[in-house]
Amino acid sequence: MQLFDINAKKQFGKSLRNDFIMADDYTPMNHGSYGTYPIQVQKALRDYQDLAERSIDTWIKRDMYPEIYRAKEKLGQLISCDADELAFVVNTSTGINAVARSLRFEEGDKVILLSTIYDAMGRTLQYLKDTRNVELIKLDPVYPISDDDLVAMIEDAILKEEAKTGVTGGKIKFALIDAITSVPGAIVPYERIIKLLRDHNILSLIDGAHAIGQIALNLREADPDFFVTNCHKWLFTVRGSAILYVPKRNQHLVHPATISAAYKDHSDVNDTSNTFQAEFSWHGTQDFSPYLTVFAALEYRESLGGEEKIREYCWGLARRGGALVAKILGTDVLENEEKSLTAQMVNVRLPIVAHDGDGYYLDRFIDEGVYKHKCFVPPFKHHGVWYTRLSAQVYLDESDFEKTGYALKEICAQLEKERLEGKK
Amino acid sequence: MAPSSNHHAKKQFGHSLRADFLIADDYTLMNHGSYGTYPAVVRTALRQYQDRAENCIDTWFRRDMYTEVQKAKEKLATLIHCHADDLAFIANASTGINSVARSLPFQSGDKILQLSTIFAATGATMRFVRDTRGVELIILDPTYPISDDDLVAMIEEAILKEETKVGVTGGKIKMAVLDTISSTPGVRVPFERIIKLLRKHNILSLVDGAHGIGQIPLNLHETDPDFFISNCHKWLYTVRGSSILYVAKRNQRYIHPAITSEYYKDHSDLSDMSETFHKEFSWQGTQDFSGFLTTFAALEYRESLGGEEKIQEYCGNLARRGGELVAKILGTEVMENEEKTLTAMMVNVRLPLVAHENDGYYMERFLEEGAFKRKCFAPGYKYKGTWYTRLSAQVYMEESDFEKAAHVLKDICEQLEQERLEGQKK
Repeated sequence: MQLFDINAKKQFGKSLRNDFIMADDYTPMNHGSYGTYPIQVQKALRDYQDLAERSIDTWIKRDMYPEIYRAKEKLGQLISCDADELAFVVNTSTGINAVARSLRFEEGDKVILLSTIYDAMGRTLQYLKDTRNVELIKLDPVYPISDDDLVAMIEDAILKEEAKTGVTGGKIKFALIDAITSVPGAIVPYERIIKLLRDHNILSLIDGAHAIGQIALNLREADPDFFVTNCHKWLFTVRGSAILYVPKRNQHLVHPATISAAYKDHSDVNDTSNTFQAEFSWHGTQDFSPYLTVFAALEYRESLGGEEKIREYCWGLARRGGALVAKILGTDVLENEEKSLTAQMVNVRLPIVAHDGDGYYLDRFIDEGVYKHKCFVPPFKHHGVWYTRLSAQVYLDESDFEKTGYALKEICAQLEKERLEGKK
Repeated sequence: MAPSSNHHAKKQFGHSLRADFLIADDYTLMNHGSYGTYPAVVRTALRQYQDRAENCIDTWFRRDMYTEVQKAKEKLATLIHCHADDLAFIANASTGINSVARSLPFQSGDKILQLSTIFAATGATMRFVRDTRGVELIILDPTYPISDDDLVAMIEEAILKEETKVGVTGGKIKMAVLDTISSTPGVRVPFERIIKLLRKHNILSLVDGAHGIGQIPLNLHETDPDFFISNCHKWLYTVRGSSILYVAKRNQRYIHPAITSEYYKDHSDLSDMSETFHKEFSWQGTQDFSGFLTTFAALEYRESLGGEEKIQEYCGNLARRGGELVAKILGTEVMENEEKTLTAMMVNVRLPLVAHENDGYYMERFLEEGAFKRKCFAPGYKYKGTWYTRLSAQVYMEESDFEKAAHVLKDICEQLEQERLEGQKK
């Protein structure tokens, strides 16, 4: 560990690896999947866990709640909303399920989704279809796509339903939209889409799993109907900490995926009581400490210069790193003309040809990447084209992308060889 | 802080074991039943798993973790006599209850039978099912202390009444929710008998065994519930957020996690013989799985104390003796039936308080005075117009803890009675 003036701003790049827990010989290019957290956040976690165990009654019945409220206040400041509009949940899936499963549907109701939503979210909507007879309208954008085209695609679909039904919104109850999709890892113009949906009386359920810590958020301005984001992805908190935002106007509509003693049905329009905070404050016994690592995570990020500086470095690195990898592979970065897709994750086309028998490719990238090259990036197939998604982070620099580029080149060459041999 | 004895010597139950745990020296934990706690060796295991995960999260989540989770399930399956494949790890009992109750294809007019003593959150969940599916709730209201026979008879009568109404086995009751051990009062329920009764009448059994594993012996193979949930973090010494859901193979096609998985598949089509139970429950969104894996360290620690039987023997006896002691000091009695089947590791003692309209603040008072001021908290609760307290016996406790708790409770009760009488004068 180098000695340096503690007041000096830290340098982004490899020197920050010391602040984290990752193995020295591993090149972590996949922050986007599961996140990771620095040592000081781990310490905060353990301090909270020890504090809890010293007198669990005192902790759970009194001392924990002010801490959780403070954490929500901090997050509220960061994303411009009130603490009372936030609830901690374990992960985005939990938040999305809470909303989707709470909403009441009528005969003929529809839900809009993009084919690019996360697998589990797609299955959640399928569950709604199976159990509530909701019709799913699945739009299938092909990336790279311009923001205008994506918004237009959604607008077309809405207008089509309106024409069919003669009703504003066309009986579409809500749309599930990402703030940033997972595969490809691309920014979605969700703020514009929210406005569009609002114009047509359609609720917006925003899966912002990848949002906080990666893009600037202003929920007051964006004004989604429901928004969920993982703190443990890009904000450096411990896994199992996410937040669900529900503006006051919608709070009576939602109940947790795990019903608690505070549950109260608010279907009666004369019922103006609000049990949102009470219902979401407890989902059964769990370890609440991960939520409280928000403080240490934000302190750490401040010590690096704050959100803007982090974004500046990471976004820049994602672009430069992506271009570098594309050059090494002889391919290109997945980007639209206005260059609005890339935040901290960058998608690069892989020099491999998709074919019927390529189902084993993911496993090969895991085996070769994780174990052999100690440098893993997930491959994915999008409309018949193979890409990989690389995550830029404060502890990485261009040499990490370079190394990854060469590892990918080797893996791809091997796979192409197997494909050609298979053909024979 | 380890005792300096020969580590092969069997440990002594009682205060010497406090050194194994993380409880503050000046705190007397009388309420293990609410949130559990875990020994230092389990904390070590937790941290080791967390470090391992963070060392290379890709390897952990995409490969190595699943083997560990499977091994942990196998250990638990051996303990409670079932197959590992019929178990799923979940965060807590409420999650399991929600997964089952919200998955089953209830239709309007179906009925769910439950006791009034089920956990508040479980009751709320059933009300949610009622509100959203048009299910009718039949709530039976036993008065404790009640004999096992009377409780079973009460349930049987309710079933027969429904059957008479519609002339169908089970009536329109599709499922019954029952505890292994209720929370307030903290009493053992003859769930094995009740399950048999329900099976006879074609009624599904959803058993909330939150207070099950580690407190009473379990044999799911014999008992054969339709659905069984138990918290490992309550009485088994694992870290909070680790519980298990057991779903009998015959029912797995119906059950999906409360958090829909990418592997979700609807099996309503009876010709669909595919199985996705295991996969659907294997991932409920990103979380820290380390809590589940503290199963190993927890079971090892319990073995080092002599194993489940020895632990249950010590704690069961302590609960009884401790309860009697508290009752004596308070001048009241233990809540127990004639055959003495209600007390497992938790004992309920009547408090010397007169219930009245404005006693809503009493629970807070027990908390403030007990937990915060006197550092010795046993929850006070009102049950059918009578105030009780529930005390939990544990391996790190002795009778002197119960004695201390009794005096704290006595003081609090005297104060509350004084306030009540002063209030009356006004």
